[in-house]
Amino acid sequence: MLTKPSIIILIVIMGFLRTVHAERDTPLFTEVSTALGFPQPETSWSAGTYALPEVIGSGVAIFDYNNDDALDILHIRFPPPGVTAPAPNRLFQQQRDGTFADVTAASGIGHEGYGQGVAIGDVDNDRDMDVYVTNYGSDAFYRNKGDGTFALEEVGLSNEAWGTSATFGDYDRDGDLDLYVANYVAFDPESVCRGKHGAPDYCNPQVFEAATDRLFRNDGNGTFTDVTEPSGIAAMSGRGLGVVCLDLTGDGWSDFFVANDGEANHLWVNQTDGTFAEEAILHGLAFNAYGQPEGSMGIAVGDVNGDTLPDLFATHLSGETNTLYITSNHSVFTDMTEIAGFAGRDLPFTGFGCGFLDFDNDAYLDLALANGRVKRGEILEGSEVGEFWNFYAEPNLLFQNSHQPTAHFTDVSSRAPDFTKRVEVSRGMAFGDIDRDGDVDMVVSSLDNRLRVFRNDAPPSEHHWLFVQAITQNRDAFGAEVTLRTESRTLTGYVLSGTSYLSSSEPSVHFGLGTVDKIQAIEVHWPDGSRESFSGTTANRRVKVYQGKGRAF
Amino acid sequence: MKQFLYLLLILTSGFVFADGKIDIPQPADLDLVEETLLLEAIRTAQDGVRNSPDDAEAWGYLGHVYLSHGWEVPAIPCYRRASSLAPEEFKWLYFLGRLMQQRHPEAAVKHLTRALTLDATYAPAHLYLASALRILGKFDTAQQHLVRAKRLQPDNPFSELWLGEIALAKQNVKLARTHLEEALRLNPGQSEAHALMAQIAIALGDKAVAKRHAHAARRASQYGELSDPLWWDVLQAGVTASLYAERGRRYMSEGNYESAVAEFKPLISDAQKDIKVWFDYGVSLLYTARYQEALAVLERILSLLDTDIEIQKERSRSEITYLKAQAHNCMGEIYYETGQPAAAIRACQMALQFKENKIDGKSQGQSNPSDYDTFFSNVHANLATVYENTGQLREAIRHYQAALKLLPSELSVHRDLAGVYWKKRRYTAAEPHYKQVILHDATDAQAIYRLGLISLTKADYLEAVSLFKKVIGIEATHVRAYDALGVAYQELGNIPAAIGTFERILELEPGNKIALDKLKALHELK
Repeated sequence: MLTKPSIIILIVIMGFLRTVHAERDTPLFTEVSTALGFPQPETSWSAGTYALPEVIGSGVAIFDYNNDDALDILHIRFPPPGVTAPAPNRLFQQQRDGTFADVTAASGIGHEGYGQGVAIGDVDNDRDMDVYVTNYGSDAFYRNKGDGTFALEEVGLSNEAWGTSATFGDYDRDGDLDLYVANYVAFDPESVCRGKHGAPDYCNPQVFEAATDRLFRNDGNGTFTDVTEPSGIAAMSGRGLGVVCLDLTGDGWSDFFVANDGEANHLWVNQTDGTFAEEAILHGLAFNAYGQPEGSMGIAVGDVNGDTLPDLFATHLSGETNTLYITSNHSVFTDMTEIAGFAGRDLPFTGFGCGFLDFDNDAYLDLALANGRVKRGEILEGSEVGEFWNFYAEPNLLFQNSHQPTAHFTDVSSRAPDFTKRVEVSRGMAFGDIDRDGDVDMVVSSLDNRLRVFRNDAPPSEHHWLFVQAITQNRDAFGAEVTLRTESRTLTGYVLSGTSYLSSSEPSVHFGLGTVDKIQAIEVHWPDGSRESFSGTTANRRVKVYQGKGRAF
Repeated sequence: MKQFLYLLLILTSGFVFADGKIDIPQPADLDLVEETLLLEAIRTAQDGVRNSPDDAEAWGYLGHVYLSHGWEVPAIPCYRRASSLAPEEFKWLYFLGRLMQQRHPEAAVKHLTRALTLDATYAPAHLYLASALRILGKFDTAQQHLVRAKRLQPDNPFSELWLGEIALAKQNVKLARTHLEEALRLNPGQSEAHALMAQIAIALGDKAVAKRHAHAARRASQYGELSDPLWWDVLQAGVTASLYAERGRRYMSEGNYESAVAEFKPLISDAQKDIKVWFDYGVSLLYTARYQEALAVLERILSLLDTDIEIQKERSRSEITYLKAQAHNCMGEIYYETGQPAAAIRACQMALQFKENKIDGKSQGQSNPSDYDTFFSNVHANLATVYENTGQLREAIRHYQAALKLLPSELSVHRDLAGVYWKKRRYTAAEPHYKQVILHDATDAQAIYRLGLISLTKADYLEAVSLFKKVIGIEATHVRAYDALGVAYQELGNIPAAIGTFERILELEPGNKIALDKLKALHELK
């Protein structure tokens, strides 16, 4: 028989368990696309024509284009299969009530191209974000006029090849943003490819010649110079789909890592004299653990094991692991995918968009993946994207980093059904705190030009957070490394332009803090090599740190 | 959860029996298939299952037909059914495991472990099981299976490669290096091992070595596929053109050119636009000594490359140039084999004409120049052989030298060049090449013997003794080495040793006149 005290204890325990259970039952992400005013195509996409560009997808950018402190969304669009007319990109401005309004026409950014990727950056250091759009065809640069409108300009950023991902970064440390554009292949529309069973399907990229990426140096006068040849980037072509700009070799100079499809990735190591040397094999980033090339698509960057060094993640085809490269002190990366606990959960799927995000603000970086095939496969249950595309549709995945004892990822897809239940052909993916509630939300674009916004409902109330915007020369300091020092932990994040796949995310660095509510110091390693320390702060706020205003060390 | 959905799909797409009716798994996109041969093959295999629903072989064969044509998901329930009908049969469990290893490692581990209880001697099963275990992060168990695979197939480089990879993941750089060095000893062209060695060298601070391995890692892996005899069963079920070609290439890689010819032959027609198929067919004919047919195919290749717009569109200029050079080189081999040295020389020279413009500006950086270097080095060596065998030794030397300039480490060319110098009695010129040979092949008795003779001529008797002893160590009945050794001892004044050496010759060849004369002279000296 239960005594009175034991009944009380039981009630307390049950109450606690119910709270825990309720917390676990709350979906980690909720789709809010329709509620926020994003138009959803009513009909499914028309059947494909097996032209490679139509299966590559397009990206999305999350940024504040009009400096009203609210994040806006730019959706890059590729026309439906068989449609020869280009598709206009769309800009959605966040309204005061948190909903979004289509301001494409008013902003002048509705360029009609065969849209692929997007890079966001303030190229003229005038405190507003300019936009570079890659296309299947000529790319486009939009200068932000600072009045809520953009002007399509010729500034020397001429790329006629098939551009995919692009990223801004100050590789020559002259204070302005340069641009790297990953190019894919020299596509021949007349090529017809067939599977082993002889039925038509999308071609392997290896059927086509690899295209040379482009590097453009910002001349500081509003124009750019194509330095692809003199910088050494032209020495090696690849079928590039993803690119990031960050110091990956520990010498303080920005390098470029390019995810190549079906061949060795490239790591262009900054030689500090305006030239680059390709050293991906030397640094362990060219291949997987077995020394084999993979079909690399998207890239995520972050310090997943808390050693204050950047780690990389690249998404790949089904049957290949999405690969987690953990860096060591001597800048050699090791494929630690299996050690990190993925256990092949993602093996059946083809990954594209991806990102490390601390969705539960527990101070450990988690991982989100946007999936969808490039070759026809069996139709998965729940596929509803049309007779043709159902063969290509896959669900997205979400992994939580439980950090036991080092980076360890557990599949928590079932706890984010809005994000992972739909079986679609997803491609671009971007991250940002859209509703400004202190956690990272996600936007995913799919092949049928559908945009899905996922609100983050994951963090428990006792978990704290901090956003740091690192600013140099009036603009976001792309390539900077931001370190938070707290009593118990040191956390590192990176100010990045393009990551994921064809996409661009909010440039402020998000830190989940767990139960830590005070930051002792914020340290920034700026892209010009200098280091500064800024005074500490309390949690749950957004702070800006300006180069030159801290204490150099 | 998503994996569960996927597995559910696989399970439900399987062999369900309802009211005695057999539910045969079907590829979802079967209605897109137009090839009559394939549709017929599927129908036949499905009929086999309908007619003998309890026959494991019928189900397995249907699995083979699906799998060989790229339908993995419907193949799985077929193998599963075969396995349940013949639970003691290793191969069905093995196919199930191998098939699932890349996408469902947990299931693969289950099937392969069971398979290995039926037959623990099939090395590829251990390797695939190790791979699945590795994906699941079970490194230690994976390691055990790799060690077993290594014991079963000591010359299989994959065991060493994957052991090295696991050691590297565990940050045991030294052990990783040992395994990878062994992998490279077993297959020097395994680019995967080179890639990992480059990382190890960087970790050890040796950037020069790292760069060398990185360079090698950029080349496509040679013999990079795991040898798996059972997999032939699957391939044999393929009826599409790409599978005939795949089988042909596999036969070629095994040196079975006769079977390769049989696979390529049905693909050859005026409609065939895949120049690689033509080329592989021509090479297979060449190596089965069907010289006239091979020549006709090679001439057809040259004509297609020159005139067929469709083929020209599919290939870059440098690829076309390279293919032409390869065709001419093969023609050179045919002319040489059929006793037409003049034509052989002309053909090889034609091949070499493409050397200068082997890489055009457009594709620079995309092709690995070292692949071209290997090929053109080979052409120079072929040409040199023809010159050598027609007595044109000066030209032979020139081309052997050119071959070595492109590929300085090619032992066979060092050996051949040294041989020509030897013929011309240019012993000093031959010496460094023989030294290169024995540096990498310490068992080449002829090279060591000749180096011994060169030492003798240079009055370096101690070195000569050492070298002749090595020759005898390799070839205990090498009478000429004993003879030369005796002379070296004699020159060193070691008469008892010289006598002993010549007496040994008489044991090997009683009545050997040279030995008898030498012994007579030596006894007189005594």
